[in-house]
Amino acid sequence: MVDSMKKLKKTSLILLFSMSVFIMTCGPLFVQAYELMGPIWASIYTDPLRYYDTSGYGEVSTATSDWNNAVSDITLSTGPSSCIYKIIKADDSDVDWDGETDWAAAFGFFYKCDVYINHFYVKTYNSDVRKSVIGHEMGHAFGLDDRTNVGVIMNGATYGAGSRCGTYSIYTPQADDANGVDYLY
Amino acid sequence: MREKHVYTISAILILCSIGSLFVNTQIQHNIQASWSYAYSDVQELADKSDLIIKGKVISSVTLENEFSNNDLIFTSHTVEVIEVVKGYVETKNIEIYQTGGETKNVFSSVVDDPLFKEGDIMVLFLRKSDTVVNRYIVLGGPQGRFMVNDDAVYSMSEYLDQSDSITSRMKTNGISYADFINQIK
Repeated sequence: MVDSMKKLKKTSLILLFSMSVFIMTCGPLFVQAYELMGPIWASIYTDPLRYYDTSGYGEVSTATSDWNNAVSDITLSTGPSSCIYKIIKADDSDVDWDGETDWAAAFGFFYKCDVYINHFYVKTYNSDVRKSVIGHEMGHAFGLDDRTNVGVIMNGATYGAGSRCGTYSIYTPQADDANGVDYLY
Repeated sequence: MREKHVYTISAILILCSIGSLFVNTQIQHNIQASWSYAYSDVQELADKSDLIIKGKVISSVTLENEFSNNDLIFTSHTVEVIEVVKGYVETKNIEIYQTGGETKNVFSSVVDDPLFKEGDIMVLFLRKSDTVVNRYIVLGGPQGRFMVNDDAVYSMSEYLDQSDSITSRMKTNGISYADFINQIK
């Protein structure tokens, strides 16, 4: 009787331990909704993460504040022209994107990141929507991937069906976006 | 003495080989494009297109230095029109403009809208360029692009096997070309 009790206790402890390990390691995978592109910034670039802005949009500053208020593990800030993360104004009517992030990485780390804001589209947007486009691209520059049909800043469409602004009126990073960035850094 | 020369020549050859790896390697740039508009379905794409064609990519030319303030690259594809589904074309070939391109040093491509390849057969939902005659732009990047393979039609999310994609809404996975065209005519 005592032996079987000991065996049961041992089995229970093993089960409890393995469940704890499973929850700690796999738990975040089940609750996360954010998607990751793959690379991150090396720690030498993240104290704070600096970008050089030549776009001329005032919303860059407010989108930066929005991200800094949302995340806890990294800070975004302006920097000098030597930064390898740049925010640039484009003006092209022959494309259907209003923002894009052009990045290159090696060994899992970014070594170039150019965020383009397409003036052809954003000049017609109000300030909140323009800020959402810039905030969305900043999310890519952190390492977050596009999402579809959900109310997060990383929703990859500005207007139309299931879109970030047209459908969900999202102009700032949401908890899920912030969780993604805090997971990365 | 002769042995020393062999070592020296071997070392030079190895260093040259390692160096050539860096000199000849194209840098891979990934582009996360944020689309200005998400189409709800194929019918909405059809309604908003100036031109719908089945076409084959004949050749492609990379366009560098399109804009003075940035180093974005684009590609001008010459596409042979096999069939006009909607609209009218005066020439057998049309130009289609796509973000991304390939130079000696860089290969740049939109993640969910990879560069067309020579020989690709596609159904394309297009709008006219406002700036260049006979140039067309695919509606919504990958949304207005459907791959034709052995008479079966695939949306880009199916073709690229991307589950959370802006093209998932197009729900086209291997239906016959005739059935696909019938649903939009």
